Amino acid sequence: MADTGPTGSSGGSEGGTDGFSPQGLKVLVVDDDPMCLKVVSAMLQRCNYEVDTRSSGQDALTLLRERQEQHNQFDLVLSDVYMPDMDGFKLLEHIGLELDLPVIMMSSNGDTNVVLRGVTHGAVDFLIKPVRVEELRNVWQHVVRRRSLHHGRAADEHSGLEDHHHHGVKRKESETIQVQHETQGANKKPRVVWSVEMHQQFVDAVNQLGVDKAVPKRILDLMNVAGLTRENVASHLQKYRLYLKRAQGLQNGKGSKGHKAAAEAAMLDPQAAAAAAAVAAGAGPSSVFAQVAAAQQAGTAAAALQPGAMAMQPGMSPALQPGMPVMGMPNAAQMAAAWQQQTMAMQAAAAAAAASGALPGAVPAALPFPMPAGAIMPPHMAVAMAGMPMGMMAAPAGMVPPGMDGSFALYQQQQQQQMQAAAAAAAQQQQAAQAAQQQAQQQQQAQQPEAAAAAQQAAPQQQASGGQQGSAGVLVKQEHGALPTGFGQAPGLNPSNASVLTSDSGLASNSGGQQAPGSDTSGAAAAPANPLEPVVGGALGDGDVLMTLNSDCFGLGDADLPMPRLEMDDFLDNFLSNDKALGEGL
Amino acid sequence: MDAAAVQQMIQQLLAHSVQEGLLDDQFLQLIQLQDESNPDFVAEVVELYFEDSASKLDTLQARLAEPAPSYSQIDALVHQFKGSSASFGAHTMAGLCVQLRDACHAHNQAACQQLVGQLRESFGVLKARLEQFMQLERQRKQLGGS
Repeated sequence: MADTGPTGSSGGSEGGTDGFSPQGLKVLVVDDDPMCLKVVSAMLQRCNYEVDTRSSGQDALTLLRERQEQHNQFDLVLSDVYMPDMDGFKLLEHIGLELDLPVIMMSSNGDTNVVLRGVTHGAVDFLIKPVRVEELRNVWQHVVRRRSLHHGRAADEHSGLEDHHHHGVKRKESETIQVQHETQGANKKPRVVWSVEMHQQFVDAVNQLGVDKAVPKRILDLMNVAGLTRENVASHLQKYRLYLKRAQGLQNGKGSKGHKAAAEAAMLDPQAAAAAAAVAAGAGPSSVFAQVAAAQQAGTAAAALQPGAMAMQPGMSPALQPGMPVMGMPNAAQMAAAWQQQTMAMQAAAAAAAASGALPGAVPAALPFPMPAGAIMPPHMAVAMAGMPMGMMAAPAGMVPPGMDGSFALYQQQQQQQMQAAAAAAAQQQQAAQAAQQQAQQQQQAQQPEAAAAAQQAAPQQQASGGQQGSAGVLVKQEHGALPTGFGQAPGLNPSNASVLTSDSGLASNSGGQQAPGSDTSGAAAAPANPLEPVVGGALGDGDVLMTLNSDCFGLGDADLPMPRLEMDDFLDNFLSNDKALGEGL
Repeated sequence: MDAAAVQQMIQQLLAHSVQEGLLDDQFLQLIQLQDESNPDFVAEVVELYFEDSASKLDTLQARLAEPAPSYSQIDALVHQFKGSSASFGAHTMAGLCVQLRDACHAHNQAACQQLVGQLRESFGVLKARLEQFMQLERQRKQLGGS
């Protein structure tokens, strides 16, 4: 693959300092239109490239795989976007995942969203048809760029680029970092952290505008937050919609043993239910969605709770919890207290449940907090609760790994960076972390920096903790610090990132059993979601938020929420429908 | 007549066609792609466009004659037709394809059929012009032109 063709690596060089010559670059052109195929081929040949063509994505993939086996891989792929058998983006994905080739997309459709889709799928360039020779003449640069990044990666033996050899070792070491930079830096925007307060404003704005009129621009105007961009809001709105969709979906009828149990448990504590709903919606117990939802519920319930009932449980370690309610909310102190209590309870319950191996689906005899009627507690929650000692219930089993305590402590401090919080929460989600890492590293996408960062951070932490939490929740947490007020009263369980509630939809689903699938889901969902969904801008995966809520909890009234259709909706929907790691029951 | 004279006639024909909007700069670029390593490129690409377009026009006509045409399929075909026409430099054709796509999205069968008619007509004109061009090209080559 590194061969520069018939002229050899040094011979035929144009004298560039690197000794690299574009001549003989092996290019594969994929287009279902024979006309375009012929024209582009001729143009590439005019540039002295070696050209092969295929008229379908599948044929192209077959050829690419063959060439990989033969260690005679192409240097570059040019592919049309709209092809009947396998669309260009799919091909792009496959190439990105299986091989390490730069791909340039082509289309006569130059709409921004199409180009954006190409970029976010990993295309190194996007050409509008009809393509001109001048545009093709420079495509070799993409090859060199990629090689300089990945040099040292087994390319040495095949590489004809002598100039890079002496950089081999250095490159190898920094390769990962560079890849990460590529992933994160391609879209260099400052990280946006959605605090609880900010999310509260967001939800208020959405409610005020009316769901069908809540477009990012108007939300942004209403929120009036300095430095926030329309894109930030659009991204957040996407996640919010996902959250609502999930929550509604769950609420609307995935009946199951676990659900029943959860429902009963929910009867007992509205806050727990809200938290569970937030989790079900994929927001994660610590996510701003959950927090704001919980805040609303806690607001009422807080009064009844004892502030300061935060005795640190043994094993609890102060850990930064993302999404801790931000000061400034009306009864923040009360809510904080309530949350702390619940979080502690949850964590203890989780720990106890984990230790005792409580069966999922068991309904705790009593909960420290009442759940709203109709609220459904995810099975893992029920499990946790089952295992909790009286007075300590409310934590879904497995949701809060022993290491996650400290949410209370964190909550009180309110100083934690959400990043750290997210990381801590992430620590609980092994799978999410792994998936996220893989995704982040494999796909160099123009993702929002925070998403990639979240994935990166979450990964190590998650693996460390081995908790079951949906990574999505954690990652989401990082992105969204505010609780969704629109969600009505969430149980005060949510404040803790560690809260199991965040767990994947899988948790809230019928499985009534292990949340591992849920975790997988959220993790896997979270990870793939990152690279492929620029708009989502974060680690929010499909499995992220899946909590059932009463429609009342949403505060949005209608069971059928008409959501504003955003530009990336098709992309998002397509991605979601393709993602097999969706939470169970969805 | 010598090669230079023929060459001049070719230039005039092309300039005229571009002026009419029948062909555009893309076609002029395509001509440039012919060289020693690709000596018959122009003839090949012209032939290809003829066959491809004729086939697409027939298909479109047939599809649109159905009582309940599948507009999504038709749209996909028109999209491809637009792409090939644009890649070839068939300016008027590409423009008509754009209009046809709009009519397709509007599920306007009558408008679609009318536009296919226009495409056929325009294709007829273009084909005739290109055949003239090809004839001149052959002459030029025979006369020793490159």
